[in-house]
Amino acid sequence: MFKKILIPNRGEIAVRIIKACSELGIKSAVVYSQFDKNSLHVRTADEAYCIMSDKPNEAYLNHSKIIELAIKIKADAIHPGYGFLSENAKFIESLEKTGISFIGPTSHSVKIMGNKTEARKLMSMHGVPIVPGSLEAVKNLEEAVEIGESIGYPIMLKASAGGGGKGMRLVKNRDELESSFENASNEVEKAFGSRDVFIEKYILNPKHIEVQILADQQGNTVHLFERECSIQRRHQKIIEESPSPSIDDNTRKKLTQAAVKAAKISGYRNAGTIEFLVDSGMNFYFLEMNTRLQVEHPVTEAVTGIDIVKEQIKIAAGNKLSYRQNQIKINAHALECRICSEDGNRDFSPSTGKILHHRMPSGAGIRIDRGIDLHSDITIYYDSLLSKVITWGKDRGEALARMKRALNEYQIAGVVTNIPVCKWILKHNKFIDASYSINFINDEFQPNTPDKWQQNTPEEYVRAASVLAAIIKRKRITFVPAANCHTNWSRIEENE
Amino acid sequence: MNEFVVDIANNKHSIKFVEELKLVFNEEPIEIDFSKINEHVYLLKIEDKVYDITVVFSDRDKLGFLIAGNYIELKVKTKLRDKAEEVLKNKSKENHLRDLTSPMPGLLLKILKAEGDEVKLGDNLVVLEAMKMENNLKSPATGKIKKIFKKPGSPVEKDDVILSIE
Repeated sequence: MFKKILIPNRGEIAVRIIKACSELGIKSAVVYSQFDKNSLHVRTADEAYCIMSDKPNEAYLNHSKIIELAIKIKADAIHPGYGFLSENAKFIESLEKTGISFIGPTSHSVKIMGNKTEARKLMSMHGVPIVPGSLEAVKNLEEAVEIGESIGYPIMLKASAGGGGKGMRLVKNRDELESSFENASNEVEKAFGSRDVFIEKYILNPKHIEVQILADQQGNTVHLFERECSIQRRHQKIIEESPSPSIDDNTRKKLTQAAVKAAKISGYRNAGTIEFLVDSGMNFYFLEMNTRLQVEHPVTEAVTGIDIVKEQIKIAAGNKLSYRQNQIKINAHALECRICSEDGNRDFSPSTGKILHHRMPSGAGIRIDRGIDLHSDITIYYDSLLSKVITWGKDRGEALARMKRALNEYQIAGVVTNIPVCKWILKHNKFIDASYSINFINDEFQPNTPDKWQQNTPEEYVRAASVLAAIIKRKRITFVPAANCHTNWSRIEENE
Repeated sequence: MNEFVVDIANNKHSIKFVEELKLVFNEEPIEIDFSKINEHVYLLKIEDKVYDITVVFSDRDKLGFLIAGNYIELKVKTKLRDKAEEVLKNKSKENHLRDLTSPMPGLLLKILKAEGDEVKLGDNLVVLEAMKMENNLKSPATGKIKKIFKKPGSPVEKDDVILSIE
């Protein structure tokens, strides 16, 4: 087994991996930028190394500095988390030359799956259904126009190189294509270093359902069932659950089999996720494979009882999978809400600041994975994900009730969070009966912003807020003569 | 000052202190108690119920509270000031200048128009990058760009005025 793992990542996922290392008796080391010196991963790891740069992402992206550090501190493996270097084939290639293990797939698999157009070609060759569209990257606007005409609008523009919704654009008609193509290409270049985008037919109101797989170096591949991830804003997930309430056992069987096949034909090893779009007729289409750990992996851990991060580490160390397919079962139901520093009233724009107060929910069936602690700085430089609340229940109803309770208990001061938005979603009829699609936020939530979605805030909370505001205002404009004098405020005239 | 007006999503509520812990909320007399735990957490008791309230942010008259998973953003003023502002607002309704302000902190990537350009409501004017996403900021009005206050490549804070339209 490994002795020391270097984690070139930050936030909740770095902390999650540190915990797995600790449980396996492995030393953990992290890197950080000077903007992150108060971050939780820096406080939690056994060793923390600052990589100074005026570029905030450099510490987590600089291949040679990270590999040099790994050699210097005698790390025998690197766990990349998600984002940053996790799907960077060049980095993995460089690492493969050093003898330090990469906790993830080979650079070869990452290259195949990382290039979405290559992956689409491979899948369609082996009979895994794909979304209709271009099988190659689109060279220029003229070609995009041509393809748009041939498959018909609306269409989706997507990055050949990436994931996470970066560069993804819905184009409703020819007029929107030019600016969308330009913006998408720019965004994609910034995020992934390549301007390549491809075009897919827009599937009307589908669900996003994905399958978690694990594969060892001995050639065994298993699936850990599916996650329902349709609740998204800006093409990024907010709420996930397992099992999916939208599919029947027959579809579940076909979907998981297709996922295992997709992993096998690409010679995949370690943890990966195959994403599908599922339409109202339960037809499913391969969307992409994420060759890394996913943000939402804890819902699968909650229902299968398998620690995916520890499995990843063991697989990379050469161990066989600890589970056979017939030992893996779905036990009850789990939900996850991603708590982000975003303002639902302002189109989910980021809220920045310092975490001044943080009280997490607790009690039966609740797990929190977090990247923040008191005085963590929330800047525009990094992702807005603060923490994840995962609830488990004997059925969907209990998991849901626990999630609502957990969100009621969760207190964060210093930044505006999406906690109330998550609550709003959980109470929505379309969420409760699972009749939503990936357009749920755009169709149901956005028309109710700003403010309208909050109109059914219970009157008692409006009253409590009003009263407290008046108390605070009154205290500010009055003078407290002595420290021990709490209730006998002597008043002075307002001087503003 | 014992009378306050609280504005929540354009609904005004009045609070009047009768005594230290006795007040009138929208005509309804209530008894309260409260403890300040720290700058960010208050316990407020109204009649028989205790509310655990987080002060998410506090910026002059603006406050954001989190109460049992409900986020409430509000403005609080003395009644006197609220009245004065009402009068002023009615006077200045003749102002035709509209500003494009940044809805979030970020990096100004591009300004798509120049001073003097005619723009229509909803036109893309600015590309702003924040948390690794590119966002198009659209024109809040139809008219002519009077002045551009920011340069491409410069960082902007939330509510910064990027340009004005007349």
